[in-house]
Amino acid sequence: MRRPFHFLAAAGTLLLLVAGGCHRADMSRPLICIVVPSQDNPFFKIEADAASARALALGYRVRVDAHDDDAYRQDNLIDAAIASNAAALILDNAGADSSIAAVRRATKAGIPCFLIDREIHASGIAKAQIIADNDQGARVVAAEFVRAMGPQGGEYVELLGRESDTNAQVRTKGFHAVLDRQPALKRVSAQAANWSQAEAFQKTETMLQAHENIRGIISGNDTMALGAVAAVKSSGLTNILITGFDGSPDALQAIRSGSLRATTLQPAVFIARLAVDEANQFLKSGNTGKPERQIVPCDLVTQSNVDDYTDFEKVR
Amino acid sequence: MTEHLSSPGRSDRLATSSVRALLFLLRARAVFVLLLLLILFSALAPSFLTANNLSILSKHVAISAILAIGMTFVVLTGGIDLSVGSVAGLGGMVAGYLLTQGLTFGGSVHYPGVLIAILIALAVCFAVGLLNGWLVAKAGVAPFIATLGTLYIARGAALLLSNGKTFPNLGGQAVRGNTGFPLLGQSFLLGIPLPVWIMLALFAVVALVAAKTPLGRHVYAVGGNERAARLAGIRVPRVKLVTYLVSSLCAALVGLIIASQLEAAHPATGESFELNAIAAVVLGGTSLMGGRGSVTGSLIGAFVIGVLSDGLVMLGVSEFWQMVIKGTVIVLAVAIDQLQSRLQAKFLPYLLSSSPEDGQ
Amino acid sequence: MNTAATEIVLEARAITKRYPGTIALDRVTFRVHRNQVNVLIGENGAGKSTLMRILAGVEAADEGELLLDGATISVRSPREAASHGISIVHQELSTLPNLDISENIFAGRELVKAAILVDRPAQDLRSAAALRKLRRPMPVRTPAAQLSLGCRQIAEAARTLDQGARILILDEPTSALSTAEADSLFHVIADLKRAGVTIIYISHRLNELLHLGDCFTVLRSGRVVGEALRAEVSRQWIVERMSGNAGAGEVQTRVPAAGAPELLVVKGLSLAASGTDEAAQAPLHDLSFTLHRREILGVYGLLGAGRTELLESLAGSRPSFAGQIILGGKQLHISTVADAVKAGIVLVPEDRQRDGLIPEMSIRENISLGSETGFFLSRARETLRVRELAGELNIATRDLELPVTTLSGGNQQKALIARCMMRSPSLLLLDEPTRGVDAVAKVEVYRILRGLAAKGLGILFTSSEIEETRMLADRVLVLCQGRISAKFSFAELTDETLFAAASPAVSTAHSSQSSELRSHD
Repeated sequence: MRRPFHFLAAAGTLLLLVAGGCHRADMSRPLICIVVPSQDNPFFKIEADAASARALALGYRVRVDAHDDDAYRQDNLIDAAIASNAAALILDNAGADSSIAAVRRATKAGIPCFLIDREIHASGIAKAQIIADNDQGARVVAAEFVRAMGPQGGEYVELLGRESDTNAQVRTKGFHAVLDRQPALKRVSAQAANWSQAEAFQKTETMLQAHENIRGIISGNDTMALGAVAAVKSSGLTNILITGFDGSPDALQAIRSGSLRATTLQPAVFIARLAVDEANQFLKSGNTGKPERQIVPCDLVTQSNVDDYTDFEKVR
Repeated sequence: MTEHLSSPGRSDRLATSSVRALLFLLRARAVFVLLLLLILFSALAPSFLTANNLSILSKHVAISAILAIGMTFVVLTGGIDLSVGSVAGLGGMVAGYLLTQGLTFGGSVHYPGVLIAILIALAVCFAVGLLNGWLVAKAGVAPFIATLGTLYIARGAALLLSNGKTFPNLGGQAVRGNTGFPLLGQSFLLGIPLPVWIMLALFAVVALVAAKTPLGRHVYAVGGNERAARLAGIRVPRVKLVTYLVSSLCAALVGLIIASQLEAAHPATGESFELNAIAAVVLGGTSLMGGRGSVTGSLIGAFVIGVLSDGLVMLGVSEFWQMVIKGTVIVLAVAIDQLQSRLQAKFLPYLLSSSPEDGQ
Repeated sequence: MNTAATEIVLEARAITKRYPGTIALDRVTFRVHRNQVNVLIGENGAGKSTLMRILAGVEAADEGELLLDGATISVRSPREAASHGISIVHQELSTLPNLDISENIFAGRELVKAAILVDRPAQDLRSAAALRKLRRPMPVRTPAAQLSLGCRQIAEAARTLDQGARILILDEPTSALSTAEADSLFHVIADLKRAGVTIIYISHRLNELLHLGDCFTVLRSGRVVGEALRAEVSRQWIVERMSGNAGAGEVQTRVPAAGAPELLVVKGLSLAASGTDEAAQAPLHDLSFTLHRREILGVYGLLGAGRTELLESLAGSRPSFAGQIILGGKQLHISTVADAVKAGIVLVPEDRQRDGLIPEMSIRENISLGSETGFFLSRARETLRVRELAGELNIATRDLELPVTTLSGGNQQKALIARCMMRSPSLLLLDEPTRGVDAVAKVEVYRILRGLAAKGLGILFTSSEIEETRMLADRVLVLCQGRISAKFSFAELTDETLFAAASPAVSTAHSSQSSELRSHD
């Protein structure tokens, strides 16, 4: 009879895993729930870490979850926050329209919501919506792209983010508001690489084969830009100019080494801290003292100022 | 009933060879699809049929081909391995961890050499394969469920390794003595990228095992009729275990190659790769029910998918259309496969019984 | 043939059905008499089940027609058959264990109210009525899983009754039942008959048939070999036709195996019953017997007597048995098939499609399966050996590289025997060696087995066919409900005594030489 053994082994393994995965915390402190799109993306990871560190410093208990850009999963996480009687919710939401109901439900349950990084298409529900200016960021990085390409211009390709993502659309619109006014610049191809480095690598390699006169690659985020950097390197080409978006640590490193021309840094850490501070303020006084919609500009990062930045934050 | 085994008549031989020819054509249809695509894209995209592009194309194909080659054995036994994408991610992350973080023991950090790092990454993925094999072969968990579980386990482990971050700069440092990792994905041998050689080598080995060894024969037997295989004295659990080990090792290689090409290990690498691999295997004519198919087919299937996606990128077709086209090709290929195997089953007995000797 | 007494309700006229390699039904005409119990008798593989599947719309005939009340009907699906009032209670019960009686009775044709909702009260009411008609009232909400096999059959009968079945096919309904359950089923059949239902009853239990039947039709090898009403039928009549007296002439005289050394000694082999559904295994109680070299030992028994379980225990696929197995003087410990093969015991399974052949593989690969050695296969060596065996066993094919499915049934069976012979065994086990094999090939298989035995092999086979047992065995063990109920030598064997010893209901009144051996009853 080996069945009891199997059962015990299985139960033991499970217990061990649960014990290992648990964080101990002082249960008497008020809870702040932080919900971000994912924890395997450096941007959201740092954003969550910054919010979490500030909340802990202010004496809160913290729980961080990821909704994987899935509005349904976000719904469940918000239900969980309501059930555990959270004091406040810091949310990087899963969709400008699909998140409205969830935010309204949390607010009705008495949990003030502070939206970061992405907005929702509704006002008066969340206590604050603090977002980086993706449009402005896209315009400044596009302007840098134009400057670097020079007056002779040339052919370029664009790497798009996940085409269903609002930010991908805002960014490409911002790019083209600037680029399309330059008659010397010609976009010969645009491919979606879904924010992924490996995918951007393969697609860039292929596009470089299809179009031999490419002089520039403008990318919707840094991860894809780094994939393009690797592809350009593997093709043995030089003088191809690449820009990113986000200001991730890896991108800053690439700017330092010269393989990436520019990126635009979203002040994620600043936004996250600001949201926690306003939540704290609101819990203490019932008011944030700020308007609901706050737009924080992005910073252009090039080789000349790259040392001023680290981990989505201006340090100097 | 006459004894005609040793002295087949002329007409017999003719009938047999025509049956063989028919079977060959049925099996080789993926090649025709591939040729068709190659001709199509060469005509539409001028730089498609250049040596350089074909080299890059086959490097891209290598990724899904290696996964598909490993997956073929699993599918031939009637199983499926959903964990390959996650295992690829895990393999890259283990190597990335060892190359950038090193191993801490005795209070100091030691950086293992590139070869050691690769071997450890392979070993970790081997363990995942072992878990898959044990769950399926010994614990009797359905392959779909077992490997779905390990898909999550491996992905979670990859995320835990870096706490969700990317390990960048896998080029290593001379002072640590761990340079050279990028060679795996980026170097060339006789003008052909190393990943393509790896793909060809794996293909050769796995195809040889499939055709020329008892193990290969047993893989087909288990997939064709598991009960019969067991009653014939084949150690079915061991055969299944081996197939999952092969699959995991191939997946680990893919993870290492990608990490080497990007010089960065990202924990989300390999998401949905399993679907590409399964698609390649199925396109190659391997039946998901097991017992029927070939490694060569999977390789060709991977090329069909690779040529299709690269060709569409070259033509500048939008991502959404690419998905629609890819899906259509897969569905059509499998539908044709079903139709043909039904025709074959129907056609073959009649063809054979049409000869006068077979009237017993 | 006297048909004046009753009216023909259904006639299957000149039905022919071919499967690749064999003819299952050869111009069979089967007449069903209204409101009678129409018995269809035949051994395994005679074509009974195929004929019934055609009547029930599960399969289509290649040739022939069906006439209901004199008019041609087409029956292309079970649903269409049901619309003509023809339903079947399958050999393998088709009750759904997770549903209750009433749900089972209405499965697939639920009564609805308000267009979408299941009308449970109405279903329960009608279920109860159907059960009352069968004089077997049961609580209609009892889950089917809790019912005995007999009660499940009653539920199935109630289902067909509620469907308004006019013709009910019962395919070997008692094969899995205890005596008491079978008795109760006979009452149900009587009640159904009284309710105006025509019954087609399939079985090879003679006692039952003689007790129940009104009209008899005997099938052998896909042909009708006898048709008569009860008054003209005797036990002798049935046995003669079933076993085919013509075959008696082909029985070779046998050299008694006495004097040959003992090959296999089995002592106290027991196996616990287990499982309820697919994995069901019949129990074995304390079986002891010996088998000599060059001897062919037959094990005769009805379905569920434990024949397959006995062979599979010896072959290593039912490792949970107790008892001693001594082969060639050495005690064996068999827990896997590989153990048995290593010791020299190989099995040709009963169901060669399910347990024997790998349909995707060639004949050569099927024959050499499991005998591969070394790291690389040697195609040349393998082909040579397979060729040699194929010649020895007279496997008729023009090319060993063709798929195994291109072989006829008899040649597939020979291929499986060849697979076993690849391992150079000392004991060959065969479970129903000629199931689904046509008459000509059967004789050839017997000749081949006899040839193998003459070369020193010990052969143990099981069969549910008298003729086969008579033609092949040097000695016969009769299994009945997991016990050896009789042992016969070739000379002592008669059809009557075999039947009697195998039937659980009959405990007395048969030949004296066997009764002394029936120590376990």
